[in-house]
Amino acid sequence: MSREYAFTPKKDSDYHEELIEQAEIFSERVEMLSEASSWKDFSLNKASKELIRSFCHENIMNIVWYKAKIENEQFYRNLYNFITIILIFLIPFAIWGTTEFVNAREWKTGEKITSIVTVVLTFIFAIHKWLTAWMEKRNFISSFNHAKVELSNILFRIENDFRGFALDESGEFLTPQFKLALEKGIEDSKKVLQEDTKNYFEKLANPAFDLSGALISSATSAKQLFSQVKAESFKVEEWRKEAQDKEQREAIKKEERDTRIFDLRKLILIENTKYQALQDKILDLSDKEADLADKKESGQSLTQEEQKKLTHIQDSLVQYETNAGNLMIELAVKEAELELLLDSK
Amino acid sequence: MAKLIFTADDFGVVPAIDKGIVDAAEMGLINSVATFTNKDGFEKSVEILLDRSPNVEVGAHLTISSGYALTSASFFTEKGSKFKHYGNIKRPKREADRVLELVQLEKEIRAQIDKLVEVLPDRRVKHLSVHFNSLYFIKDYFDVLVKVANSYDPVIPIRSVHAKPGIKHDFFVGQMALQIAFKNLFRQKEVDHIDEFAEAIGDYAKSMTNPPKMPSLFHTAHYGPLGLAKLSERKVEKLAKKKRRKVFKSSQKLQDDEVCEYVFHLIDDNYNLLEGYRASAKSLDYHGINDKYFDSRMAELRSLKTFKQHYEDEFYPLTSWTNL
Repeated sequence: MSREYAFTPKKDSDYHEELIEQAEIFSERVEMLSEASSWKDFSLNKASKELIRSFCHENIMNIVWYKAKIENEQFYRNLYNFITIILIFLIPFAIWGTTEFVNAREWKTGEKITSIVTVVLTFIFAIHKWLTAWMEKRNFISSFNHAKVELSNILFRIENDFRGFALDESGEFLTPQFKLALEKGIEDSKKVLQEDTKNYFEKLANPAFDLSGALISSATSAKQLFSQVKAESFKVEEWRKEAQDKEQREAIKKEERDTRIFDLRKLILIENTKYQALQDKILDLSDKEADLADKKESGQSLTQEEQKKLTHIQDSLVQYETNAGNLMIELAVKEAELELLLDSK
Repeated sequence: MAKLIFTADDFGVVPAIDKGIVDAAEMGLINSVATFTNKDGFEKSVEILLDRSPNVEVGAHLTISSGYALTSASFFTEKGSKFKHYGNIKRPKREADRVLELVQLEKEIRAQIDKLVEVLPDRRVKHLSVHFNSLYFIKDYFDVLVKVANSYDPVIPIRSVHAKPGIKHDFFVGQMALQIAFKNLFRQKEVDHIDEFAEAIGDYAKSMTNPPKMPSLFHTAHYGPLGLAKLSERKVEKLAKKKRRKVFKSSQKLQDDEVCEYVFHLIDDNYNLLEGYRASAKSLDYHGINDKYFDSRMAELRSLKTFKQHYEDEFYPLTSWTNL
C-alpha cells in the first residue's frame, strides 16, 4: 500500500527536504517509484523531476500550509470560546461575591464597589466585543478549507488518472498526458492559491472598531448586568438615600441644638443681668432697712415717715427676694440645660 | 430662748478660708468648725485652730464630691481617685453594684472621720456635716451616714435634716438639688429621684428606729447671692449688713426650745487680697470650693463681727454640740 501524505508542516529550513519527501510520496502513489527506492535514485530526467517537484511545490506543499493554518484558526476559535465560557461563569459570581458582604453601614464602600465593578465589566465587555469583531472578521477556516479541498481535488484527480500510467513503456520518461496533467495541475493550483491569497489578505486587515459606541454599549450592559446579578441585600441607592436623609436630619438637629444653645446663652446673660440688678437693689434696700431697724432696736423711736419707709422697704425686699429666688431657679434650670446640650455636642 | 450653734464650713483646704475661720473662732464669733480631712495639711490647720481657740468644737466635713478619696471608692471617683462633681452623682443600676457602692461609701466616710479623730486631743469628733449635703439626697446614702454616726461612742451628732421652718429648700440646697435633679432627669431617667428624697428626708429621719442625733434646725439662708460678678468693697459692706440682719431676723422666728445650727462660709475679710485669694484657690489641686463666692464669704465674716457687736448679750455664749 502506498504511503500516506503526512501533510505535516516543518520548519522553513526543512522546506526543501519536505518537498523532496512529498515528491517521493507522490511518485510512489502514482506508481512511478517503488517504495524501496528513493527520490535520489529515481532515474527520471531532470526536467521531468523538476516538473514533479514544481507540482508538489504548488499543490501538496500548499495543502500542508492550509492544514496547519486551519489548525491554528481552530485553536484561536477554541481559545475565544473558552474565554467566553470562563467569563460567563466568573462574572456573575464575582459580582455577587463583591456585593454580598457589604451592609448599609458601609454604603460608601458599596458605592466604590459599584463604580469599580462597573468599570471593570465595561472594560471586559469592550475587549470581548473587539475580540468578537476580530474573530468574525478573520473567518478564514471556510476559505482555507475550500482552498485545501480544491488543491486536494487537483492532486487526487491526477493521482487517480495516472496511477500506473505516469511513465512511458521505457519507464524512464513521463507520458505526455501526465506532463500535461501536471502542468495543468500546477496552473490550477496557482489559480486556487491566487484567489484565496487575495481573500486572505482582505480578511487579514484589522476590523474597523467603533470604540466609543462599544464603550457606551459595554457600560450600559455592565450596569444592567450588575444590577441584575448583585446580591439581593446590596441596595446602595437606598443606603445612600438613607445616609443622606440621616445626615440631613442630624444637620437639622445640630442646627436646632446650636440655635437653642445660642438662645440659652442669650437668656442666661439677660437673666444674669436682671439678677445682678435685683441684687443691687436688694443690697441698697437692705442697707437702708438695717439702718432703720438698728435705730429702732437700739431703743430710738422712728418718726412716722421713717416707720412708713421701713415698712415699704421691707415689703419691697420681700418682693425683690422672691423675684431673685425665682430668677435663680430659672438660671439653674437654664444652666443645667445648657450644660447638657454642650455635653451632647 | 432658742439656742444657736455657729459653724464655719470648708475648713482645712484653702489657707485664706482657714485664716478667716481661725480669726472668727478666736474672736468668739463661732463655736463650731467643720473641717475637710481629705486634704494634706488639714491637720496643721486644726492644730493652729485649737491652739488659738481650744474650746471650738471641731467636726468632720465629709465629702464625696470634692478633692480626692482616702479609700478605693471607685463608684464615687473619676480617674486617679478624684471625686466626681456633685452634679454627676448617679446610682449604679445593678443591685449588686449598689451594695458594693454603699460598702465603699461607709469605708470612705469612716476613713475621713478617723483621720480627724487622730488629730483631735480628746479624740472626739464633735459633729458631722456633708459638703454640698450630698449624702442627704439619696436615702441609702443617708442611711449609711446615720449608721456610721451612731456607731461611734459617744454618738456623733449630724447636721440637721430640717431647714428653717416654712422653707422646703434654702438657697444653697435648692440650687444644688435643682441642678442634680435636672442632670439626672436628662441623663438617666430611671435613677432615684433624689430631689424627691430631699423633700421627704425630715419625715424619714423621724421614722428611723435608730434616728441620728442632730439639732432641731440648720440654717444657711444667709448664703449667696449667686457669684455672678465681683462685688465692690462697698457692696461687700452692704451685703454684710444684710446678712447680719438676715441671721438676726431668722433667729427671731425660732421656738424657745429649738437648737439651730447656723452654717457660715467664711474667708479672711481683707478685701485687698480678694483677687490673690481667688488665684491661690484656683491653683490648689482641690475642686469643690467655688472662688466666685469669696467676696460673699468676706461679707459673712464681717456680718458675724457686727452681729456679735449688736447682739452679744442676746445670743452669746453659743450652744455646744454636747448639749443636744
